[in-house]
Amino acid sequence: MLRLLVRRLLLMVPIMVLVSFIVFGLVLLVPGDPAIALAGPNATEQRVEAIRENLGLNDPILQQYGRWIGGAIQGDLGESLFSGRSVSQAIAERVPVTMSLAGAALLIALLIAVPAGIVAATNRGRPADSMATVGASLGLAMPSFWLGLVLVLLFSVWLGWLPATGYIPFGENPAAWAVHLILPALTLGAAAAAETTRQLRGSLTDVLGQDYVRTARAKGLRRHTVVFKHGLKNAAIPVVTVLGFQVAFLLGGSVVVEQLFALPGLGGLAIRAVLNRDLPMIQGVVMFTAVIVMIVNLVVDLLYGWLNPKVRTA
Amino acid sequence: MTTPDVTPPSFAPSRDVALQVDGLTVEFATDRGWTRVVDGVSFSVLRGETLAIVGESGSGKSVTSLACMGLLPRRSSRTPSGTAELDGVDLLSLPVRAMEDLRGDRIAMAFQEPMTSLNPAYTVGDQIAEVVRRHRDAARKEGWRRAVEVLDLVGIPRAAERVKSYPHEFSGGMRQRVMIAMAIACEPAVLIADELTTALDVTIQAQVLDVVRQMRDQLGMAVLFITHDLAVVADIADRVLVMYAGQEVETSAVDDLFARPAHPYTEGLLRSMPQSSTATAATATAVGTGRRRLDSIPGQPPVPGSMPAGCRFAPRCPYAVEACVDGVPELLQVRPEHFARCTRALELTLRGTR
Amino acid sequence: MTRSRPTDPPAADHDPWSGFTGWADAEATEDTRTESAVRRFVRRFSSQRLAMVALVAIGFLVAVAAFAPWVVPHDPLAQNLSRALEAPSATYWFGTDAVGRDTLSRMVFGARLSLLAAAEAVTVALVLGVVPGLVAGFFGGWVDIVLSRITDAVMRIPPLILAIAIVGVFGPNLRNAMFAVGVIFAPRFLRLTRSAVMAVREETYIEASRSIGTSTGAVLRRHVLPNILSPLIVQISLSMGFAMLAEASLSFLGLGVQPPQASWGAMVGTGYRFLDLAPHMVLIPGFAIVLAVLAFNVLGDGLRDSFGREERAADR
Repeated sequence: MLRLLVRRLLLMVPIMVLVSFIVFGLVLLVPGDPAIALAGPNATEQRVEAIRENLGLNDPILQQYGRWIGGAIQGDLGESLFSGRSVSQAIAERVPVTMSLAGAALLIALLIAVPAGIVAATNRGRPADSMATVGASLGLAMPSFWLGLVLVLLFSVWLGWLPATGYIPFGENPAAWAVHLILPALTLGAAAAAETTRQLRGSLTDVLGQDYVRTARAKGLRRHTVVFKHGLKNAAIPVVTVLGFQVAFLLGGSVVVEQLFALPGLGGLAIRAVLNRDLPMIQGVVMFTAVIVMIVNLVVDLLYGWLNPKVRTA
Repeated sequence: MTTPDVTPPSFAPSRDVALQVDGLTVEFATDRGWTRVVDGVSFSVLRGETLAIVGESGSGKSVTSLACMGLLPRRSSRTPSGTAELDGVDLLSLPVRAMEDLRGDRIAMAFQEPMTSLNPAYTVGDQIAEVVRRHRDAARKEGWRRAVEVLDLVGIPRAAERVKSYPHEFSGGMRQRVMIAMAIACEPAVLIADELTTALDVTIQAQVLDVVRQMRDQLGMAVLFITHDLAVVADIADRVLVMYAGQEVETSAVDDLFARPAHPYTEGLLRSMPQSSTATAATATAVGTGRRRLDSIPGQPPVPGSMPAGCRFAPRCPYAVEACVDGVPELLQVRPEHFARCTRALELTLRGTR
Repeated sequence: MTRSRPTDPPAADHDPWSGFTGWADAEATEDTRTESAVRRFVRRFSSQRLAMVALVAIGFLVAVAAFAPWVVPHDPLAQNLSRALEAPSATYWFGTDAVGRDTLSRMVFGARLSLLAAAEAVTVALVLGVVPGLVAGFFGGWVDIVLSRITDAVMRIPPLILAIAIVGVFGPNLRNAMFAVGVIFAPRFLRLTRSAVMAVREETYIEASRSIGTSTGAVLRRHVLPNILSPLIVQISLSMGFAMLAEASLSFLGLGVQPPQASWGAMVGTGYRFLDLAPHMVLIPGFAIVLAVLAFNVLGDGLRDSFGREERAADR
């Protein structure tokens, strides 16, 4: 297991470097002179010069990259072109909100998808399966912001059960924190729940047709043992494999959901940065979320090793 | 499709009969309704005896064994008639949970392809111990101890260590031994071995057959050996049942079958076996050539649902005459304990191998 | 029935098996596997009722979008403040928005925008994905390694955040937004193409074809392209659905289509400020998105099932 960890960590390095290339390369994609483009049409000469200074655009490109990545490794992602604040600090302030939201969404997605996937796979062709399949198709086709609005309409505007907007830090009032997260997390988690249900249904159906499941039945094991012990662990392998991508989708989708529910998370930061064309801030947010996704993928890989002994010992 | 009323050959039931199957009929759901894939098969296996069921793929031999295990898909198959008695209990009419109690305990099955038939996510010890815990009410430790014991019994060296290994860490032959160990962990009365040696090379094949033989003798099990390989039959079986197109076409003691087959299909099978007096040598050439050995019988076996009228083998049978197509053949007794489903069984003299 | 069998047993020393090839009247039943691939596809696709419904729905949507100026009941940009925020009625089937514009007419033009935008994104994804995918799959080696690593890296960045970043660099408008969506979809097409090409490359006929000196381009065109076509078509259909979703999200955030034009996502985005007063402004365009995306997804699934090999029996 330790060897697996080390190997995965080593594999992460080149990907991390490539991601940083891509993120840093964004500056090269800015059409024309980045400083002028970023400063906007009505900027003064001093403003343009300040941006050029801030981004170090006068230096050779590799030197610029070296300075940026060197800072990033130490947690310094530069300063905002707009407010002059430290990018890292701005991210740090908003991370708890986004993490709470994404975590809660993942939890809700699993709480929906695991039972639904199992019920669907063990009742192929019956009404329960059809319900799960149709539900999953709808979940995948629904834009999150629209689902969120429908939920707000239903639970806030009409029923008045749950708050429509706002965020209360966990440390201030855990109960209020949870209540304010329910609708956003449900909104964000729906698509992940749908995707996971589909995958689990598919992989469990596949696994239940495998020879070793027939062997398990031939041993006289009860049905629940066959499904939960011999089926689920193997069926989880492909589901877990794409969990990393699910987390990436959740982090991306949180931008929309945060806007919708007025949550002060990374999403608002990113949108404002884009509208202000605040390049260091954009780069910082992208790099940060990519690192989070990579860390999640590392955890997924370790989980994968636990599920699949062949990987562990190979 | 008309189905002849089959009179099963009656081996006098005795205390030694472990599994008694009578008139077993299995049907599968298809687009055109229920299609009969096993048609009135009857046989019995005695304690300490090996009965081989031989046939091409699609002959119904595996379906027969799965029916006895209650492992056919419940929604898409049914057994409209017939019984399969174990200790006086009809397995076919048992409720699901009662059948689960017997499966793996009184009647067990070892499958071909141990690579896919063992769960890759658990150690072999875990997979053996869980049978013991399921049926013997044993504690975790007790199940584990038994796992080591049976692994040792089937000849896996350093069983106490290997018990913690995963299936992919074993060689093909060793995996097949694990499969056997798992099946015999609760000392079943009946062991069904399904194409156990198909994927193995010759020497390993012989070793695995030895293990089956030893276990049968030590535990006094009845063994039902499903195979398409006559060389294996010659090696392991006491009696043989030849199946063709869902029916039993010939049944006899192994020596008599090889020496004096009474059904043209059996003769065809024997002909396509490499000529040799020793089974191991026969297997040696048989392996690798695989299915091609059966090619010397021209044509293809019929598909369930569109069986030929009269004798089902007639279209491929060089001995066929008008009567074969006009009348449906019954199982005829050609000698004591030797039956053949051939209208001409008594007049023909067919060539055996010895 | 022909009767060719002898009525008398043959002589005892004769080996009846030698030269025996079966009886004339017992020929194998007719071979049913001769139908062409296209015909089999049509047969299997038309037997899937849901996929057919989806196809009809998409056809309807495309027709409405194509003939938008002729089918709209009102001018989509004509404001009428005296009739703002009206609920659906006989005059305004889907109601009106905050400045009294007809929702239905705006949705018809929105369909045009959404479909074109999604098509643009998928085209970008195809160009950025299929070409490198062909190269990586066909040549393998370090080219493949480099391209695959880049794909890995891109897929590590949360898709929507990458899209937002790209829009941030180029500036917010629909064209840039759709380019960004194309970029985030490209890795899927790259992986798909690469693995399909690799599978085909192993086939012997390619070896044979290359060994007789067929040019690489010809090999790609003649052998590789037909083999990757069906998975590509499936992926295109599924991607159209996801691209519409992505466009809706970006437009909702204000990073896509700019006023006074509106896609369905943008309509939901402007409608949500009037959620309690005029829920139809949110519900109806949103529902249209759901149906359209669902149609593309169902069509994609249906295509996949129709292209695939014969399914084995459901149970064993």
